[in-house]
Amino acid sequence: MKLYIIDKKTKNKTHLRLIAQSRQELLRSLGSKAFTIDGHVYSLYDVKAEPSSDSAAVGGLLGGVVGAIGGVPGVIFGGLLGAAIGQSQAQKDQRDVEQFNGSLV
Amino acid sequence: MRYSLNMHWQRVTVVILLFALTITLALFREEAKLAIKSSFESGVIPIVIWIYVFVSVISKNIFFTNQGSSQFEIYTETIFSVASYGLAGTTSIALLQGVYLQNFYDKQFFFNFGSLDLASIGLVSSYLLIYCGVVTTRMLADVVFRVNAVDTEPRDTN
Repeated sequence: MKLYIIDKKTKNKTHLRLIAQSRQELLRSLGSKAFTIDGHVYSLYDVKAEPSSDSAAVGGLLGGVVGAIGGVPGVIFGGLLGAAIGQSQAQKDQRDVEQFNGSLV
Repeated sequence: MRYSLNMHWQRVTVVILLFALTITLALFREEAKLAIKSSFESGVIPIVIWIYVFVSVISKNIFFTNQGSSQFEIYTETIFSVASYGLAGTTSIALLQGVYLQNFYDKQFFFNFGSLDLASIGLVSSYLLIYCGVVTTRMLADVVFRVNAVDTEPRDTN
């Protein structure tokens, strides 16, 4: 899960070098309900979460490579197994994103 | 009629790579078996796993620490993460090596184990290895793709 704000100047997404499961946790780690980036003031509600990298693709590739020791069926089975493992990680990430975006201070 | 090219390029790339790997394995079956055997016997894979896990976990914990955690928590979490993912990865690759050599080259690694038992060991070891790979790759991806992330300065609201 990645945390970001929409930059007030450029209107682009700016990712934050922070880890928090909720806005309460963010408040505890920052020690303030507001913070500044490049001179612009943001509140904790400006911070949003989004899922990180595509785990299903990573899992599928890793599974295929590991499965190569079992030949052609191994690649197919390993790829499917890896994609399933990656997908479950992605679902966990999505739940974390929803929990963060719905959290109140 | 125009078709949209709004595809999931990462997944398309993975499917193409797996397709290429499947074709290579089908065409060069014996060469692939020998290459896998020699890479297992070289002993390089566990070293690569340890280095990969070490770099992933350490870089994640250095660049993206939870600011609410104490130094002791960060230190212990890093050590336990490196140890658990490293041991899980190297143990599973050792078991896969045993299953592979016993299955394809008739070397006895597991005595009194039937083919179903070997298949189970292979399946569980593969699952463990892929899981470790996915988790540590996510850690590394978090660091690599977020190098442009910014630091925040708390503002006194009182």
